[in-house]
Amino acid sequence: MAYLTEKIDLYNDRGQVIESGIPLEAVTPVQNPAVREIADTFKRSIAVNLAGAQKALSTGHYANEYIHLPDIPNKADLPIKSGPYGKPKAVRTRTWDVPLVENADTLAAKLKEKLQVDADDGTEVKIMKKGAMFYVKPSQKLCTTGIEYTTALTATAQAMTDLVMEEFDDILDFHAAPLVHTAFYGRYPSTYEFMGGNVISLLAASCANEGPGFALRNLMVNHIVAITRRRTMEAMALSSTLEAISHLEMGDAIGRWRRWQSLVYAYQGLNANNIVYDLVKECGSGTTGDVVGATIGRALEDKVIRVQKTLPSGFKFYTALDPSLWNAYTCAGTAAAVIVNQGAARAAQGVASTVLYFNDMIDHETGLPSAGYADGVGNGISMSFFSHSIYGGGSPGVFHGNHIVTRHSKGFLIPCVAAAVALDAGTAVYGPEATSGLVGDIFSEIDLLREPMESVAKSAAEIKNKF
Amino acid sequence: MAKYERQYYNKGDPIARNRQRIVDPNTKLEKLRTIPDEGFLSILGHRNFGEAYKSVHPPLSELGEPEDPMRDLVPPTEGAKAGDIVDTLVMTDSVYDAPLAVYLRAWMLHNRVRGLDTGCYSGRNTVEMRARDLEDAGRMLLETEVCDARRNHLRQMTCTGHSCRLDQDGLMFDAVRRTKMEGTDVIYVKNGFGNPIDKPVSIGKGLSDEELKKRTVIYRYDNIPNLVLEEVVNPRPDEEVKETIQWIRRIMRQRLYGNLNPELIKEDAYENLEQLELKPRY
Repeated sequence: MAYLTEKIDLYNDRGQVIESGIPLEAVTPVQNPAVREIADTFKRSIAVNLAGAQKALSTGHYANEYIHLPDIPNKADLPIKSGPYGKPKAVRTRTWDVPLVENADTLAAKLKEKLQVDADDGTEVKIMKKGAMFYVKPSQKLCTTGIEYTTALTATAQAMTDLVMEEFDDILDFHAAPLVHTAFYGRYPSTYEFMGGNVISLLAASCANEGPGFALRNLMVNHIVAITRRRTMEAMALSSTLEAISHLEMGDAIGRWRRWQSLVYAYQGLNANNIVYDLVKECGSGTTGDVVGATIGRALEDKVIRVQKTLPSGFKFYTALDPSLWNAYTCAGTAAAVIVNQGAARAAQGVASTVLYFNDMIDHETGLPSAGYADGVGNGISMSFFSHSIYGGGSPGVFHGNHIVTRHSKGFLIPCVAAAVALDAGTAVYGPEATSGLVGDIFSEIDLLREPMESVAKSAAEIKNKF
Repeated sequence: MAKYERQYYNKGDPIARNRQRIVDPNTKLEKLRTIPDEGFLSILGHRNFGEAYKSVHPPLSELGEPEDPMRDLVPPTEGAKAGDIVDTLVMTDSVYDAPLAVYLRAWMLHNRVRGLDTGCYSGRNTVEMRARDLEDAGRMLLETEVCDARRNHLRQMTCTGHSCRLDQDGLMFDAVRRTKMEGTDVIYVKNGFGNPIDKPVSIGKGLSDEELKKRTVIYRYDNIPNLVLEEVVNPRPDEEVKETIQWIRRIMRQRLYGNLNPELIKEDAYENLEQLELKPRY
């Protein structure tokens, strides 16, 4: 075991130094307490949409899906709401007017009681939006007993089902239980995910992950942008933090890749040595191409690369004195290029294009491999396809690291997408407002998540003398 | 330290020099023609002459942007300020000595234009930008030396079949027949989407075949034989050409070895990498 002792300075998004002389080891997810706390917060944070559950019970419209009905002879006589293409989509089932929102205070107190394992074990139940929502954070003891991250969600959903059945036994009878279950859990267990449930976790069900270690990557970019209130570099920092933790979890940040991965996180996500800020400041009114030049200039200045040989025509080949650091510089450059190009358009959709061509140009400019040793090029081109054309139409905001085209990036692509979506002025159909309003309302209240750059830097400073 | 000066592209042969000129934003592109506003808009096919720009959100001044230092550092383009919709422009190029090629377009635009989204797919280059920015970029793409009237066309759809075929008069094949020759001039009779336009737009006459060969950015066996079939046609290419090819291979090799071990490409490892290559017996 050897600590990463090289020193970095951490800057905020105004280009002011937060903490200086931090050893790289202090920002790695394994060591940094703030990063661990961010992971813990994501793991334990649950939102209960009480108003949603009440509406489901009172209208019979459960889990964002109507109950599908087969083609039956007398369907015209049934109270069926027809769906698109004239197919019957819904049947009105039994409904109950259960005053959940009115009794939010009582329910919150009883829910807390149900979730607590010890007195004062840190269980939180906050009433939000005048009783329409609960923010629930079960205790660490409860959530870490199992080895998976699902306890928080399942415990809360089950507690709510139980509680509602118990509390409103004058309204709800025995036969209502499955529907109350559906009102909170969603279509699970008919679907493997908690589809349309009113108990919401930021993390998807574990079976929805592409592979081992993808839990924190399975978080829509729109959510991250909403949590950080559209602040570009904070969104990047949060996204990069989640990616850094995931890469540790995926086994990508071990051995010879440990320093490589930590440098990407520090330089791209945490604005180490102010590189991203400086590049954006220098090229703010310029183009992607200007950022290419500025990134290489900075790398030469900091002696990360040097000229290897000059061709007869005067064209120079470069070589890396420190390849891992060069990779971190190109990742920072990629982020700066996205901020410059997508910031100019105030539209997120070009992020894949910028990532691709920035990296391709930097390859051909220097003769050295670009971000992720050319993963950036591959990710850019495949994400262009999947976010545009005939292959499907998700706007960048609905992408996450748990996607077939983004999963190969070693922690640097999704932060760029988050930056682009944060800068979008409203061109996307599925923007953060459309998909993540609720998440934003709840989680942007938490300073740790809203301003991760500051949190991580401060907590790194606290432990810096250990390394 | 002095500001780093970009190299853009190697200058080893005439075609590389042509490419270098185009991608370098310090080179002013020669203007060959001026298409009147009405004609330009009608072939673009997004809005009529005199019609206001469509918008997707209110102007930024009315919208009020959230507090963010990055937004202060990066000024929005005119189209973004006004909240224009994002429009598309698709250009396609012939492989017969066109003065601009599909992939090079993306490089050129990323070096010359702000706030764009571009991609290359199947012989076409798509540019998506805020409407009024797109029109500015479109003028550059259609009016300057990077557009030859016969070999580079604006086609919003149905690009297919363009590249390998030329009509008898040297015009690039088009399944929708958007363009036709009138004497020596090239006329757009339909807009990019293939809908007939009221007043056909002339974009002037194309360059001669000899001039095109001089200006082209495409490596072909009939213009620079020693590059394409390096060892077959010209067994002993000059030093620069040899090195340029090695350079491209070096990038690919470094990508590969870098992904095996991040430190493998360190400093003088370039020489060592040769030793890592598969031995002939494999």
